[in-house]
Amino acid sequence: MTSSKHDNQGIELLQGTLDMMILRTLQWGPQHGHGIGIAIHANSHDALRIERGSLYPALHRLERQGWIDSEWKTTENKQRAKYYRLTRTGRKQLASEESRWNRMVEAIACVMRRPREE
Amino acid sequence: MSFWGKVRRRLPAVFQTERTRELDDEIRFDIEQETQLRMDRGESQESARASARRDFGNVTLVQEDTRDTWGWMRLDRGLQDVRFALRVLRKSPLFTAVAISSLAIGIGANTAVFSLIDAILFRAMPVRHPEQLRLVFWAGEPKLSMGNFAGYATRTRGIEAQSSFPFPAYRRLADCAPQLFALGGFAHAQLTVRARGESEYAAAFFVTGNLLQEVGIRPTLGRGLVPSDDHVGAPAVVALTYRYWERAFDRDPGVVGQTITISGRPVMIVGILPRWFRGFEPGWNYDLMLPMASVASSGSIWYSLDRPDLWWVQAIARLRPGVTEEQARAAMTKVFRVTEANSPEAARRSGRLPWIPILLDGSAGTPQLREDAISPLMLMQSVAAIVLLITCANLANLLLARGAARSREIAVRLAIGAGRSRLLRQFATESLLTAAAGAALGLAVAPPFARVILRMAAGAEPLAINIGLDGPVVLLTIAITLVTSLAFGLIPTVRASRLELSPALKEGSSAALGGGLRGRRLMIGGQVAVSMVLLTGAGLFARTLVKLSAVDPGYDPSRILTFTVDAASSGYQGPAAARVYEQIRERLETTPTIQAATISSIPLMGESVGNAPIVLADDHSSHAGEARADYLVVAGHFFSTLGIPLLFGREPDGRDTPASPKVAVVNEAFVRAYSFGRNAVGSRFRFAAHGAAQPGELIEVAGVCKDVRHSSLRYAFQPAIYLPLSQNPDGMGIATFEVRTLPRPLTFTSLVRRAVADLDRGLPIGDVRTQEDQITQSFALERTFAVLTGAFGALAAALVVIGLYGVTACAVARRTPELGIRMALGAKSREVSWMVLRESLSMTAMGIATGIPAGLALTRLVRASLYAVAPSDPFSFLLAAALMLAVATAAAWIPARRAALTDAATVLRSQ
Repeated sequence: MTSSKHDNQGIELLQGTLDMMILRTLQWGPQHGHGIGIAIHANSHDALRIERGSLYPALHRLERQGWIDSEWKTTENKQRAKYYRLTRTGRKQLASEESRWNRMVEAIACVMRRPREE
Repeated sequence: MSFWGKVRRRLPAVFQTERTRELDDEIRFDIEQETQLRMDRGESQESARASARRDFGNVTLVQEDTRDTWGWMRLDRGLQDVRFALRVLRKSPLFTAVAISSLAIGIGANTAVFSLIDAILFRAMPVRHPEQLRLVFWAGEPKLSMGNFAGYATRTRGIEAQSSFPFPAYRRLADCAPQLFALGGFAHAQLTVRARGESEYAAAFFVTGNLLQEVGIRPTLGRGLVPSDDHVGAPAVVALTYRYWERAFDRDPGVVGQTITISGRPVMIVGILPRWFRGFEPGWNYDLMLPMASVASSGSIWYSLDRPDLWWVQAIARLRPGVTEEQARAAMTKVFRVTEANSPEAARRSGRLPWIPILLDGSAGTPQLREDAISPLMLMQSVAAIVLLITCANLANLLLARGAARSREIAVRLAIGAGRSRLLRQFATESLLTAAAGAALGLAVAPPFARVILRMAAGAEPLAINIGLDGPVVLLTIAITLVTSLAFGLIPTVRASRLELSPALKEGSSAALGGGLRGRRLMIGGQVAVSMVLLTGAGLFARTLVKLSAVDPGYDPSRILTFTVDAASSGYQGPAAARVYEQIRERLETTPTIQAATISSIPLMGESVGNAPIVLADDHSSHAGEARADYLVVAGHFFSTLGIPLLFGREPDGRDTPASPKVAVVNEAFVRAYSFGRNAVGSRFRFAAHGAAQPGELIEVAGVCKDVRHSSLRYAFQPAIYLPLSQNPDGMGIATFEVRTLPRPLTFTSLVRRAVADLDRGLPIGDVRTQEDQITQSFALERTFAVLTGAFGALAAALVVIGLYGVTACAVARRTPELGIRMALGAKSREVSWMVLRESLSMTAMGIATGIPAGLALTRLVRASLYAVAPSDPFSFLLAAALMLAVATAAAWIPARRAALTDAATVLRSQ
């Protein structure tokens, strides 16, 4: 009866990549939860839609780990919203995750591009 | 973020209302933002809002998943479970009340009995290293003469060990190896105390000066007794027990330093003993603690610091660290040999066990109470365990029924996405909560319940033990609770979680109602069997009680007031004591409303009676050397006052003076045992030499009386001798007066008290009670068993009614369609109700069939506690079985009626 929380209409997210993308998104400045979802959606050329059931737990987890912190601010439309911001340790974390990600992509790419042996 | 902010963010969500509200705001903002986005794209407000919500997903789930990351998930969910469980339990108050109260009774009974067991059998004194303490006993043939022995015997590894030593022997033991052990001595006596203008008897114990320090007993106030107090000629000092301080002085701290009068001498109070300390003899209450050297002040002729033939000092040793019991014993054995060599006096018998020291565990004081209490306690614990078994079965039954009734709810919750594990936890929480509430209530009722049992079972004297809920008792209760809640919580829970959803969701389906009827029937059968055992036990004890009450004590106990006077402790010695007793008696007899007064050297139906070897002067048969008889010293018209018929001869009276020939009355058993026949009057006997006692003068039988019960209604009559006080002035230690009054003897107490006080204001009376009470109290233990098994049997039967009603009602509800069809096909309503009744009766019959052999096996174990009733007494078994059948019929009656009233048309239409 229950449905998987990570059920995306597009591509199944790889484990751990959501955290990295959130950190990456926050590199451009503080953003609220909805904005982060929109940004990832847009930057993936509409390929990734982040379930709120994954997004908010991830945000709170990252905050607990100290990689981001949050602040209530008023938007242009005079609404109160919770803005997340990358911390110093979060920046380091993002760097290390990014380089790990790149190494992995290369490695996978190597495997996948290798011509088939007849 | 501030420090407090950080702290707050670490708390479980239930405490983080602010954080939870923030999360709500955050989510609301997200949805509003999304709505706005969609409206900007041209959607209408309603459709934008609806689709935004839809795409967001399950708000509650998102909230829960997010909160889970806060790190308090488990506790949070636990608290949520608890809150939900509380709501569920509140919604069915009847179930909750029955479940909790029956569990409380089961747990309360077990905790109460176990707290008694712990207090009496297990608990060590709260002193440093109690495991180093040893009681010193002796066994074998003492080569010292034995003038008087004040103490008791205990059996250890098949050897009979004796508790007391003459003081000189104690001294030699104490001095023999101080590097191996320290030895303290103690003895007890009754003293007369005058404090705050009133005289009363007080239970005192004499201790050697080193005892408190060596055992490690620190006074609550002032100081304890020290070695310098324990010298003849040292200033007279006393330490009060906490109990006495409370009773006599309302815990006034100012009493330390004051002077009270003990046995006529001024004595200064130096300290108050700690509250837990009740002496070294569990079960006995003490009031005063005096130095051993002041023992002469007790007035007892049996206590002496010099005489080697008076055995009265009990010894407790503390082994030095690292010293083994064997080393201490070896050192003591040497002393025993020396003592033996020093006393050539009585080395007549040989080939017997040599005199040896025996060391027993002393961490909890002397063992008499433990020995007496162990089998009654085990019996009570078995009863309590049975009760718990029944309450558990009952609860399992109730929960199974509820599980079945709630299967639709469970199915709905599973269907809308609750995890099975979460549901399991939810149900486990409910049963754990019920068990915890039951345990808390049980713990609360346990101490008063234990006190009630104790008061009921102890008889005349309240047993002095510290009952409390301490470590082991509480731990046991928690263990019982856990096991119970697992036992009754698991089955329904597992069953519930295995439920098939679709049939359960269909209302009225039989699967939803049925759930585990077979299991519940088995449970009921078991409950019936166990209740049978309890009720049979109740029947056996009740019949024992009836038989005991019907025993003729041999005299007329009605309208008799009894009390004691201890002249020796108030300063009267030897013949003076006999004279004052006689004066009291005469004064009482001249009091108008008092018909007659008599005195005996032991209370009738009291604990014990003296027994001594006799020599029959004119007997030429084989009895010589082994004839023994109980003996009592009596005064006044003992036989006519108590209504004991004299068969031959006369009662001793004024003619029998110290100068005239010695006379006595003997009982029928005496005449029978020593084949005097009709010629008993005028025949003669004497007390044989034993120990230091010289052979007595020849005593002539003046009369023969009917047999009388002296110490217990259970024992067969023993040969007995009644000696007149006038010719035996030393034979009356503490005098028990028996006064024949008008009805309601206790109302004469103040009259009697005044009569004694008029003679000597320093002479109090003690142990005031009626002779009838004295007799009933002699079978207090049997009555306790009868009341406990009866009460618990009734409770068990009541639980069977609840269980049986539940199962039958459920079965009827489940079978309603079938019953409807049967009735449509022509079954009579009587047949239908019989069908239902029969099922309940067959369950009961199954239980009875199991209960009878179980009962036969178990009742054999209580044979010793029964009187004139066989453990297999058919009457008790039949009564229990009949009771169970009656109860079963009653329980099944209402559902059976309902079944009979089934309307075929209604049922068939509803299907």
